[in-house]
Amino acid sequence: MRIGDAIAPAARVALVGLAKNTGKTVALGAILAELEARGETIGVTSIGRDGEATDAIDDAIAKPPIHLPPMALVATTDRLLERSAARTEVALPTDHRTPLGRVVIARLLERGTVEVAGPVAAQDVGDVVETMRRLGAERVLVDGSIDRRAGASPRLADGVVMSTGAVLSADLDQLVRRTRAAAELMTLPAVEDAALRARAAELRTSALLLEDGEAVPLETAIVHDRVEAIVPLLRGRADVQALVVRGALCEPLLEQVARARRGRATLAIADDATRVFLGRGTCARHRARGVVLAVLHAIPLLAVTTNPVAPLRHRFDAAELRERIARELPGVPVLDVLADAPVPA
Amino acid sequence: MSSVAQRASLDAVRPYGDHLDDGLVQLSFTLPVDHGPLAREAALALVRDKMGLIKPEIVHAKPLTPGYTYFVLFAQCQHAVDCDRLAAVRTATRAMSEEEVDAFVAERLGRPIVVIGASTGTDTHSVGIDSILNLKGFDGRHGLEAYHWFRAHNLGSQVPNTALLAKAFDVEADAILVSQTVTQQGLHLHNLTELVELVEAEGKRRDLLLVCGGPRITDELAKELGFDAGFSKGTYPNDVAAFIAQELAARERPPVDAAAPEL
Ligand code: B12
Repeated sequence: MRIGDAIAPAARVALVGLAKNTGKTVALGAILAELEARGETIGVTSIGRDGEATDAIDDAIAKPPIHLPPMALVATTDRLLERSAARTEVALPTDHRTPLGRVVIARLLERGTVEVAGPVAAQDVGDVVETMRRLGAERVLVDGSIDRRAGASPRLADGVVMSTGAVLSADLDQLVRRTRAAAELMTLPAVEDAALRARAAELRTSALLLEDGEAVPLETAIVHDRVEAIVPLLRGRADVQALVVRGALCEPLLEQVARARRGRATLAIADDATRVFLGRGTCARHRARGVVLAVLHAIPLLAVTTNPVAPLRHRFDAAELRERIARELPGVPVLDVLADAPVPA
Repeated sequence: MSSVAQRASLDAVRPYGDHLDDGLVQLSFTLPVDHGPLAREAALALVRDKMGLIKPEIVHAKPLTPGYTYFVLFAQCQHAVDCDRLAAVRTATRAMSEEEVDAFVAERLGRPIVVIGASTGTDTHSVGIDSILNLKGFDGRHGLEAYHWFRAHNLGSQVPNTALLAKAFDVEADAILVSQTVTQQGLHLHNLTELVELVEAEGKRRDLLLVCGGPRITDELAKELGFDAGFSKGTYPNDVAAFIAQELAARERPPVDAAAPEL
């Protein structure tokens, strides 16, 4: 399967990397090339910045430029556009401010390279995506940044392409384990019970949902800071149906839930997977302790791309890495978009 | 005006020594070689053959301790930089003193600005954030705590992102300031992106200015991380205050098409 086929079902596609230099920009380039061949009108925005000449941390790492086809729409900033050599027109200035200038939506008048840099806040990214659709983009790509996941929120995108690569670890087994854990987190299942789902979606604040239909509201401070305070609320209650967190659902809270429930199964519900924060733990580890994670809105994982090279460090065999990951993620297309191209020395 | 006032064009800026575009640079380094002709030749060869500089000249050489020699050299740089192509220069913020910031906030916002800061994650380095927030400030300039129109909360170092966020909601902060010094293995990157992701998850990103700082932070990195600005070495508290004040004022304005003049 090619990456263009993998993303076909989603009009709005988010690209997420598991770390810096996992090959997200290369994946973006491959998608752009395939969509161009299909004659699609494309829109591209980035939560970070893309197409810069060198890495913002290590300027010995050269980054691939982003080639955009004619008529493509791109979110960039006034200052970045000024220094771009491509022939463009400003389709729409916006009000979104970034450290690199004000965001503008530009249209390519001929093939060229432009640094992509859209708005910083996810809500503003949503505005830009909608605007690009209005301006005629048939497909909009929302590129992530470093290890950020916010762009994958179902509010912004209909599916996600995840990039993993050798930078995650010099140990192949660990790289595979971490990729599987990240994929599992990204694809947390939607709450099955429709009635429960509806009740959870109606809540304005975080709460414990009880069997009898009641909701015990939880203060924000308990959810984030004084997490131990949830223990007395849970202890000795047989009737807890689910813990629902509106906002960020973080590992310390899950630890306390497991402690209070002493192994009894507990459902913890977040809005979507981008709102679940697991430090060192994995979904599997929490499940083993009785805490089962679910979401109101699931995120389709369209494809995973693998990059065998850690810049300036180590590399793995491209085919082996791809196969190992594919074995862990049945049903998900796992692609090495450069595999057919010669590997640079 | 002075005779130096002849201005170089900003599209090809070279180091200045004696006259415009001479490209003169000064270097100092120590070689682990005994003071003598061999050490001198090694210093010249290093600069001439390996550093991309031409016409090296030793102006000072001194034995430090047996086996080590300290050098100062002049040499000529052949490269130029095009300032017009540098994206990261924060041109939008007007420089302001403490008094100017206070006057600006009083007039434009008419309410105190609440900021909260910390050095996050496992990072113990607190001097950076202290120098921006604490009364004493940095290099003779007050920190934001001293400003009449700022309410500054400094949580110190090794603060978990979740604790910083909870407190930020508690004090209804306008801006969160994060300091990161340790950059080994990209540790700072994850610390910083995690805060942004938490704020996003809470649906509060539009309501908060996120500012990061530290010796290796730039505006370009800040953009990638999802912050509104990044401040590095040489930052004074009033630079940060000016940015926050002007940015908040700009955000309170109606959308672009109102054609309000830029700051
Ligand atoms: C003092 C110091 C310490 C003290 C810190 C005490 C304290 N309470 O802060 C102690 C001894 C605890 C310490 C510990 C360590 N340190 Co130390 N430390 C330093 C030192 C000598 C000075 C740092 C400093 O205070 N600078 C002065 C301040 C004012 O500068 P600044 O932080 O850059 O801040 C300015 C700007 O960057 C900016 N800014 C900074 N933060 C923010 C935030 C915002 C919001 C804004 C707007 C602006 C802003 O504004 C400030 C004013 O202009 C530096 C070396 C050096 N000379 O720089 C090493 C140094 C920073 N440490 C280093 C290391 C490695 C460590 C340790 C890991 C050592 C170890 N192996 O145990 C530990 C870290 C432990 C941990 N978990 O964090 C390395 C970091 C290397 C790297 N890039 O990763 C350095 C560079 C030394 C070196 N050359 O190796 N350290």
